[in-house]
Amino acid sequence: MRHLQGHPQSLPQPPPRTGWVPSIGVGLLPILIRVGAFVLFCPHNRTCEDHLSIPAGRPMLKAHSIACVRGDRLLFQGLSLEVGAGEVCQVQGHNGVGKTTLLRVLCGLSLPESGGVFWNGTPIHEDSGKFQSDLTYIGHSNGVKLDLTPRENLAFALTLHSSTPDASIDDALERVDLSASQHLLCRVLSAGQRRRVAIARLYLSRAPLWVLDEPLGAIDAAGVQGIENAIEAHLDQGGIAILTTHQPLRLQRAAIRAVHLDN
Amino acid sequence: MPGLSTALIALVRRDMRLVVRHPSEAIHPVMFFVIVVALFPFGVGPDPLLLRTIGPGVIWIGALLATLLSLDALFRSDFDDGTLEQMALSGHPLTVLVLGKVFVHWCATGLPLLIVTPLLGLLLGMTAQIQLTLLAALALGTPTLSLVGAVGTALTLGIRRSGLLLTLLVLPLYVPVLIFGASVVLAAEAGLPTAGHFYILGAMMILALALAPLAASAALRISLN
Repeated sequence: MRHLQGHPQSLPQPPPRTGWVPSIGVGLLPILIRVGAFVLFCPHNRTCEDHLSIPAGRPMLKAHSIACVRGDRLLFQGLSLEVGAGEVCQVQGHNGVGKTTLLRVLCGLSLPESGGVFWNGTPIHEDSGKFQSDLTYIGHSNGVKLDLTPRENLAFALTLHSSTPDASIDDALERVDLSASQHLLCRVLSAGQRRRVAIARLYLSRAPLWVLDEPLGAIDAAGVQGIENAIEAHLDQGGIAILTTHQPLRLQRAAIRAVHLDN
Repeated sequence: MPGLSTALIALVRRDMRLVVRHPSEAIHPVMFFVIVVALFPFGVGPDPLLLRTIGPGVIWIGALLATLLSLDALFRSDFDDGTLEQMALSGHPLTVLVLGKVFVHWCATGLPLLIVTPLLGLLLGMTAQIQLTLLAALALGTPTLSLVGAVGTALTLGIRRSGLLLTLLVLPLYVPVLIFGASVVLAAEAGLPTAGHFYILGAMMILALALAPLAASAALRISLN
């Protein structure tokens, strides 16, 4: 409110005709400021972990009897699912059957019509901050800004999640084979290269739960191999991966659990 | 909460960088503002007394429309390319991130409006002291416009061609800002006290600052659903 005090038009004694306006204003301002401060800062007092690693207990994602409706159409109902540490779950089904919707429900972006999703026994919307810091989601859209370079995109993603302060962007770019084009704007990259920028987030992530929507789309054979290796390394560390893909996924050491969605 | 503040700073820096790389999003609204205000003397005639009377209202309506035009850019590109999902899943309160985005939006559109206003005031024959009053009113009012507009934008994000709906939704909410923002200048011209108007403008800004990010983040979650 510094604007007001320094303003030449502020009069100390307002005439009686308009006197109620300033007095109400003066009376209300501190209250409004306090209400504003309370509303702004109070709900966010939960602590934010700077470093995150896979919890000591075995992480577990559980979906209980979820039903999803898109528009007027019932996509699926009564779907239950349990994925534990070191397990990979592949959601299968033809186009439009609700794979993406299921993944969005599992990571809390969409709400199911009925049923609930639990992370380590807690409903994901109850402690969403904790759940989200345990989650890396690569969606249908890349989450890549076209007017930023791959390096800037990854730097922003890393700071936003702040889960892996020691992760190396150079290393992640190296692994998705984008070191040479790291200073080009993503606008001039091909669709596959943009997808690789999104995939590079996996190499920055130390979150135990990966939810990947079509991670192999637009990626070439060498890239697919790299992603498969990354998923296996993640599972070896006790992580969980839930993904959809139409291409066959070849994992050497882990068995793939399949969830078939069908009308 | 170091994680949140660094994320907020990173978001503000990223959006500033995007504005610099795409300056048209910041330049077009302010050009629109200048042209709309400059059209009025052609329409109503060059009578200095008339221009001085309608001047504040014209500038405020111009600022309102320019803000409205720029609102779509606030969340649209983040929504389309999926970065909004990433923000919603970042583990940080979306309310605070929304506040950061609105701040950048105001810096990119509200601030340029303030910068060109003295020029337009000159065009409409305002004295220096009246211009100062108008600038202070705009400085208090335009953040409210950006904040309230963010709620409307967030609500209409999931709808294709939402421009007209956004206008219908947001413009009525801009009326109080318009009333007090324009009348404070008229009061100053008439030599009346203006403190009350400023208090109301400030109160509206604080109220919007406290409530709009909450409403906008809730609306964003609905749009993402």
